[in-house]
Amino acid sequence: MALPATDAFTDTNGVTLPTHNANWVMNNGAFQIQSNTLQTNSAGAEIAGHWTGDTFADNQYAKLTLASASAAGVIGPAVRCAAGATATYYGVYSGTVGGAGLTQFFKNVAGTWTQFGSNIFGAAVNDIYMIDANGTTLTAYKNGSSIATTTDSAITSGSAGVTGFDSNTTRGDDWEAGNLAAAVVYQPYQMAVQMRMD
Amino acid sequence: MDRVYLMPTVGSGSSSQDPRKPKYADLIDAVSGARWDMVDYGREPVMLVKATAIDASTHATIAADAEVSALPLDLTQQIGANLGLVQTALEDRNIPGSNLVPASWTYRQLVRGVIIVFQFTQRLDGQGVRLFTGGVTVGSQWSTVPTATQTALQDMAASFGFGLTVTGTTTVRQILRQLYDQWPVTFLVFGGEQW
Repeated sequence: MALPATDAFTDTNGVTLPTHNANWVMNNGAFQIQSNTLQTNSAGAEIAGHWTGDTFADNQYAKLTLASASAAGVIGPAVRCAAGATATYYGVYSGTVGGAGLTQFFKNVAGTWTQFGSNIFGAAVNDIYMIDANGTTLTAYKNGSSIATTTDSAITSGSAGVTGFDSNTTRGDDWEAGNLAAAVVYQPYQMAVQMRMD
Repeated sequence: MDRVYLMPTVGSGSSSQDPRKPKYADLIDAVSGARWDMVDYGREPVMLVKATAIDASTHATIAADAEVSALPLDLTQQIGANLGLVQTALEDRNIPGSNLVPASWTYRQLVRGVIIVFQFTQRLDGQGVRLFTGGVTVGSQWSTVPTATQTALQDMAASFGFGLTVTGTTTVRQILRQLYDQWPVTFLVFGGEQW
């Protein structure tokens, strides 16, 4: 398949994510399809799954629309997810927990969940959340604007995916993931040549 | 005002209901308009924390904790006569100080240096290895480091594309300094700014 990978989660209610599309492999917990969206389905537990239908470069992104939210539970995109059933990935997820609409930016390394910064409030249905990993720089976005960024070296590679927490009516839709465009790095001699050409 | 700290880690990390986060995360979050950002030292129990827009009384509470090291408000000033204090604060947390931090550094350079060193134990954490366990400290010599950890250190250096030259008497702090010296001259992001 060609990147970017996409999934609109159109399927029968109650179908698990890997059954909906065999390119999805769960890292931990469970997602299911509800109302043609992706719903968290693991009470009180972290959830993640990754896309195996394509090979991702180390520098990659994933995004997901917050389709609906409930009093608990969060959902969002993930990057550099480990292959197989290991809870290792970077993620950003959102919901309307406590009615405040929060977003959390984090890493999960072999099941140890570490938060990079304060909760970010103001999440709302139809917001599009994105995370990208570019070398050791991680950035979370809401509707195209950066909302948090940090430097972290724990996870170097993996697949793009989705992440969440809890079991409720918090849902995501219109997942997309791909590789970041390669950065142009000018070496000193190239800069000199470029300056002469200019 | 914005302040930077080294402070302990709390939380088991079992899930987002009990996350690994800085000891005073909740106190900072209780200040209207304030936020925190952190860089961790891999699985070691210390975090570099930037508190943005906290008030003086909250800072005073945090700074009064003997487990916390607070950097000065003006990060552009040189470490100068505080060198001993700074190096001790780092080495007490198994962060190389005596062979890394000179008096001529500003505190901004110190923050950048700490972020870089933290990347190495983060990568080890991603490999499933904790460096400072089983009696290993920054002063430990290579010959006393468990074989599995030695292998992990070499793998970690290679994963960054860095070289590592060791003898039996090379200390962990010297290893971390070697790796620090190979870090590229690029900006690092932390707490909403570049370092």
